[in-house]
Amino acid sequence: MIKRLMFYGRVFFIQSLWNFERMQNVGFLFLLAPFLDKFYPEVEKRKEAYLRHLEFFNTHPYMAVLIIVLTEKMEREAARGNSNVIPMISKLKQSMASPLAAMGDSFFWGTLENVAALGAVFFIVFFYSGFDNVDPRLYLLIPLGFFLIYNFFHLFIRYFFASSIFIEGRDVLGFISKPRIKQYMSTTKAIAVAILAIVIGAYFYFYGWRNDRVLFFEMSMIDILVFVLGFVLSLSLNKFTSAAKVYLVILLCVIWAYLGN
Amino acid sequence: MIIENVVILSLIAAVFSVDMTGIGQFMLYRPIFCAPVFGYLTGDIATGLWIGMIVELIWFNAVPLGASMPPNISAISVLTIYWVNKYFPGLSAAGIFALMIAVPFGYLCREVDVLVRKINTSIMRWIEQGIKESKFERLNKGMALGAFLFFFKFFAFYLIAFPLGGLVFYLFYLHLPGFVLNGFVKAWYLLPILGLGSAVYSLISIKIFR
Repeated sequence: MIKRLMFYGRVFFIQSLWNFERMQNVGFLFLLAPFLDKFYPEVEKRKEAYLRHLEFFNTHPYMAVLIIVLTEKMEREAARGNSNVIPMISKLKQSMASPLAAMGDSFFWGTLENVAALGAVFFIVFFYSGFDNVDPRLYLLIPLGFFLIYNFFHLFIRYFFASSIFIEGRDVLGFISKPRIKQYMSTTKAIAVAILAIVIGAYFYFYGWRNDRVLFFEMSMIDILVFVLGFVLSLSLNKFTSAAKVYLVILLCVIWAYLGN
Repeated sequence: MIIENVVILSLIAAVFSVDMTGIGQFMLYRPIFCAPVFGYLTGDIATGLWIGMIVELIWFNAVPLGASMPPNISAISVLTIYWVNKYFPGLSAAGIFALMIAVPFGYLCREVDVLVRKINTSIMRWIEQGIKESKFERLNKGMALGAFLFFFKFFAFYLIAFPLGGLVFYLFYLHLPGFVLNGFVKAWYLLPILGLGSAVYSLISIKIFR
């Protein structure tokens, strides 16, 4: 158990020495080093093993653990005397890195993070106007909820991968089989789209349709139209960087205010 | 403010930022998390939540992928919250002005990150040379040095940016004409719309791999 936890602790440092030349290579070796030390007690063989893992390597930081699990098994084979495995280790690393990077990027950062973030945005849009009457500490639940939802899945999957190195016969590749992952991702994306649609509707209703203040015009109906116009504008400004869009919107608002509205 | 000491706040902000690439990737660096928490620590969680929402939505798909680095969105959020809560707490116009100043700092922070990653190449070579000479302990030392550099650069960045940017923010904000402030109040409500548009575009463009 202690061994598992120590290895699990290491996986969070895979990018600590990320460099432009060979990217995650040192982080990869750092995770694999305790196993190489065990497999190769002779200094020369250990040196060879260490050096072959300093080649270029880059993938999604969560998914890298999966490649380490497979590499560890091959290194164990090589240490037992099956030297035919050694040229295959590098091929395995390079061939799996890109597909796993695409999978990790789109699942964790492209959909799961979006769902958790949009959930938090949903609560902010609904409860922002009532902040004056409530203990502010309660609102810490919003970022905390985001953190817990995201990390529940993130930490579980990383632990599942990391613990596989100590469990013989676990079908770790089956766990990330394409049909299953695609199904998870499609479902997660659908949830994200649904939350986003609710957030957009709620935002227009709560902040565009208010009679207690004048934002752009004195009539709520026209204020909502300005919001719709802003929304369409934001969709059509995709060639601009996010920073440019921010400054453009602020500039338009200042010009509007200067014109006397 | 619950915490006023800039050194302690810089340490906390560095913990958020180092999560982006260096250590963990627990999403502490996402504005939706770090802005409200920092807002609470500096005395106004409501502003933290709103700014966090704006930055999160506008930079919805801003994640570091390989060598491609987005501007440091945790720096943008944290700096905005600190300046507005320190000098003009609760003022939405001040929040937008602070955001305007914080955005270039986000880009600057990214450049500092790039610099450290270049230094990491030298550390990597030092480790490689060490292994060739059978000095295996260099691996752990190099990793520790890399993690420390990642953290320290953010700490130093915030230690300078908090007071420096704050001074610029405070001095300029006091001289802004009324119509500009009025425009900023409008932007307070319109920027989330811009963000929602960015989020829609990002979600549409996500491709489920084949």
